[in-house]
Amino acid sequence: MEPSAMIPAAEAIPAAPWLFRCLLDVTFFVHILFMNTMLGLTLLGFVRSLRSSVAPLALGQQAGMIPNLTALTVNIGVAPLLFVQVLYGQFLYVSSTLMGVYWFGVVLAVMGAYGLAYRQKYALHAGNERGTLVWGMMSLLMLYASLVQSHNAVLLVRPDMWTGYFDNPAGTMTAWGDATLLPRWLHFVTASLAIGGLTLAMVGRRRTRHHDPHGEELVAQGLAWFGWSTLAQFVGGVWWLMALPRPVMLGFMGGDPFATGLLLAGIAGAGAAAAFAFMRRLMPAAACGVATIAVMIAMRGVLRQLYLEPYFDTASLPVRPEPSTVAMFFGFFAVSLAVVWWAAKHPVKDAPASGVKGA
Amino acid sequence: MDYPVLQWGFWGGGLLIALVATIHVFIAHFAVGGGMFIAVMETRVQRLGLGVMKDYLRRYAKFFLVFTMVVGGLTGVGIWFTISIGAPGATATLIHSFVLGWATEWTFFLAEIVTLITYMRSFESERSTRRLILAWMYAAFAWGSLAMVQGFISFMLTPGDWLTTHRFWDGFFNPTFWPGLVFRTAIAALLAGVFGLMTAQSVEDEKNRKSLSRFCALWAVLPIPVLVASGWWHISVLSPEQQALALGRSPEVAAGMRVFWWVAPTVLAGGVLLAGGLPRKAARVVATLTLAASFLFIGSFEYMREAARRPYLITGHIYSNGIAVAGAEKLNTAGVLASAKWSRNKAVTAENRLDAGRELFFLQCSSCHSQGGPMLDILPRSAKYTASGMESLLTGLGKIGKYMPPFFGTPEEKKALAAYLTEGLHGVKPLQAQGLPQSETPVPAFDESAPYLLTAVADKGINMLYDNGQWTLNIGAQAITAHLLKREGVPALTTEGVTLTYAVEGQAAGSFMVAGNAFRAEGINVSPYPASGKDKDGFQPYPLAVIQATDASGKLLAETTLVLPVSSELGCKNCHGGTWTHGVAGIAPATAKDVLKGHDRLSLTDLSKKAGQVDCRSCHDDAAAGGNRSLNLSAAVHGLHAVYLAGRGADACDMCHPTDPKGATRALRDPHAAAGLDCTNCHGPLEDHALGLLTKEKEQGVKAANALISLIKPRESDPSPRTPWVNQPKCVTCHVGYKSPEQAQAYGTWTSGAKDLFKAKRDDLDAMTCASCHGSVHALYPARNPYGKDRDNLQPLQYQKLARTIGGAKNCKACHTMDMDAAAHHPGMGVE
Repeated sequence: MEPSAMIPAAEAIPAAPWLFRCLLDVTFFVHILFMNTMLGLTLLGFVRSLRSSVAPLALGQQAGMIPNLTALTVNIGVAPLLFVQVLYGQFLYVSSTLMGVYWFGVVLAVMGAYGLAYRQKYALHAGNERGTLVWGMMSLLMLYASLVQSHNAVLLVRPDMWTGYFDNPAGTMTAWGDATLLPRWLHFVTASLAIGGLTLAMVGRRRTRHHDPHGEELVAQGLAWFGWSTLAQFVGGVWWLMALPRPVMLGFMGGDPFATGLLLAGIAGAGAAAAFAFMRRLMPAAACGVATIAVMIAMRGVLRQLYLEPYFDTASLPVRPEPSTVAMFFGFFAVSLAVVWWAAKHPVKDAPASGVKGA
Repeated sequence: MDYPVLQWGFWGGGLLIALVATIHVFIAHFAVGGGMFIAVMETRVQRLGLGVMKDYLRRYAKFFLVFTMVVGGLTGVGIWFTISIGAPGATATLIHSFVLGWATEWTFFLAEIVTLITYMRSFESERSTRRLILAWMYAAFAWGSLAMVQGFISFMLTPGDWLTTHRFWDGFFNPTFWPGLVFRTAIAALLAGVFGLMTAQSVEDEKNRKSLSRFCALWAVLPIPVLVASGWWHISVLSPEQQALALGRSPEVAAGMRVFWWVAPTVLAGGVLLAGGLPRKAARVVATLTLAASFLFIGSFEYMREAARRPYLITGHIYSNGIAVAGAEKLNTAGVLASAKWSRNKAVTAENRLDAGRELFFLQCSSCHSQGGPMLDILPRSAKYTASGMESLLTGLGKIGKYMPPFFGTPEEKKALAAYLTEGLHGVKPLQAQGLPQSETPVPAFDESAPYLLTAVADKGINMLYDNGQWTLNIGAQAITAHLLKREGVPALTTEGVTLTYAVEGQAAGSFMVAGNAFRAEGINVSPYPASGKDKDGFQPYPLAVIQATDASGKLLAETTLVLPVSSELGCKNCHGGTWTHGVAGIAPATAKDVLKGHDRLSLTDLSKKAGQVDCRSCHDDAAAGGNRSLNLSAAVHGLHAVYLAGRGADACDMCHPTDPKGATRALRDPHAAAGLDCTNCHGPLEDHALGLLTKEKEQGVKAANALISLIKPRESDPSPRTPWVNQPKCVTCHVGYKSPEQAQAYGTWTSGAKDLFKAKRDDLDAMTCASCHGSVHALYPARNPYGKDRDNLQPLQYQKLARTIGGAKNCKACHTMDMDAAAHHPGMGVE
């Protein structure tokens, strides 16, 4: 069956596609930042809990951050999920359905990880537990969620794989047949490790500022994770690039100037971030790392566009303008951001720590 | 039609959506109510300096945070995940039409999370303006989320002007937006109060505990009058069809309403009891029960709201199964399989019939029906049908009951789906024609010198019997009209001094009454199950009856034999389940019960629970005078079934009457059938037949006819009003001047009264009835009886050794003892 014949019809949208593209990329960028931090801290929590018989430095604090990070990851993930539906709903609904069982499993996995995160937070609050088993379970659940997201992202752009539905209409289709799946997923996981390391380093920096003698040790640990993971990104990135369908790959290698520019900027940013990390310069490393993620998010959008070029262009979406709803959204968005800013501006200190190292 | 459908069995029917949505709805309302509760409590704590209450509030808020964030937040996202795979078409509409509304709701969600997390981190000091502000901000954002989502949910039920304009605000501020918002706000407060009642019992100090319980009880009780008022408001703005569904008047959703009426007083009672200050142990139990009741309360409300939306996902825009209303009718010609982008079979063929049916099931049914799962399991629901019965059900879907969408697709697709649901799921094989036992019936003796000739004809050539079960149509008795002719040049019809008797083989026997120049025997109860004889234990729908005429001395003057048709092969089981009681015929108790249950469901009666036999005619009287009464039986039965059997031609008749050429009765035995004509040539297709009966009832002021008339489309003719059993098709409509017909459509020209009926109408001499010479209706000579080819032709064979009309084909001397040259009985006798 001709793949293009299976693509559902697109519906009209209330504002120009570029607006939704911007909203998608911006909110997805924030979501990915939180997601990387959440997943990275969880994976590092597991690894760190294995390393010694006593709880490593700041492991309790690390655990305490994860519930709120999960809440924010999920919450901010809603926005890009919404905007990607506006632009690519006819693809996303199909890809989600084809792997419906696994897709719904994401909800359960994240819910489980979230619940465990609260358990871990309260269990490790006293600072004398390592919680290896729970760290491991959380890691598995989150890795599952990320792997499924990668599957969905691949299936979304591969209508040529959709005919697999006729052999597997029960929602357990996968995208293992796509050569890019594994590097794509590993790219996100290693990015999470990097950002997890960066966050640990930030925690160490804050501790140093609060005269904790072990703060610098944590900064070093964190930056090492960040630096090496970022270097690993190059390997994974090249693997992913090479695995792309030839026309898409060539787009990033000069065929499409914007795509090529983004790739070069990403490489430069990641290289700079790694260099700063090895130079123990936390803030420049962080700035380069975050900037690189922003570039990568834009690149991800371009990649999707290149994949779907034979089938669909968001510019072709019919627009039925509803400016009053645009105003409503931005108005309330501003109010909400102001509230977030106000709440963050007056942070109340955590309850006094128990004084045990690592709390 | 644009999206792939998950082919789930147990999990089908939207189980996932139901689970996720039920949990989320409860928690989401709790989150809103809890937000308000925390804000009010926080204000009280700070104003009154209630230290103990601060600790309570912190515990409450901590649980609240974890519960609403982990389960509430994730199930909220989970709804997106599930609806996008369960109902992608409707999800696409919801997203694209309201994306910036959803995005606005997301900003509220973001602010909720941040304010709640920050609130939980600000419990150090006794009094804190910041904490107070955070509590109220959380409450405001949570309620804002509710208000936004209410706009979208209520839009699905009552889209209002959006259906034509497709504008955001027309859909958002729809007719049920405000009443629903008030209702949901009240329900949120109630849930918070009930939850507060649960948690209040953990306060150690008795005085504080009781004071807190009273405060929480107010939250649980005060919203109830608001709920009743806003609930009434909500229902009042619905369309009449939606009101019927929302109020549980539709049997499919009655359970929701029953739960609602039970749990609302339970919540009220629980609140009042706890406000009164129960001992701690008892209070915990009552609080738990009240919480469970409140869960059911909100569950029943959502159930009824969903029910009221049936058969749509978005009322008037997209059906429950994802078929867009705008393009639905086209599917009846273009075909669902050809139109669906994700179908493997693009057309139904003999080879793919069952697989195509399976695909059609998933395309049209699986959004609501599971296979073996808890959601409207299709297996028990389809088990009672034959393929033909299922086809009928599909035809009637969405017409009598408005709960389900109509079936869309070509007739072939409908048959394929019906085959899958019966043959495919249950192995029910289509009926195959079986050989019937044949017997030679001896032709009674007749000597050309015999002084008398006796004709005897049954009133009904087709006779349907179901008189001894849970209900009765009261139409199974037979009657015979007999003529005794003194054979001579001008024969004389003789009645004086003559006794006529009948004796059905192994069954009833009795005497005739004189009726003018003929004899009548009425109320003859015959059975197709012979008690003795060679057909014993079998099925014989054409029992023989011997008629004897004797004079005053007892001397036999004449004797003849006829069949008295009677068949219990009523096809109710095609749709009402059960098996034949006698292998090939006979309505089983299970079938009969299901018929009554169907009546109870559609007409809100309780016949299936009554002891004794239900006489259908006690309400549906065929002979009743006009006025606003129940429909007469013929109009009711044909009217209702015409909705389900539309477009089926003569097959529709065969579904219920014993006329199926593959059945055990095969009651159409006369030359009309042999010439390729069927029931519809004389009676019209079922739709026209039913409309004839219904329009007559309407003319007589029976309002119940209107609903059925609106559901039946005339097929070949405009409705021609008629009274059952009295206004029947006339032979001369086609046989103009008693000649061979030039056309074969008799519908619409009816006999004028009882005396004009074929069985009673006399010839031009006012001597013989039409049937006396031609045989019974539906078994005119030469008839072909399926149990022996001449079983119906005994009299013509007896008197003229030819299976033709008695006296026809120049056999005048059968009665006249000589050849005649004038067509005295009626023109066209072949002697002119």
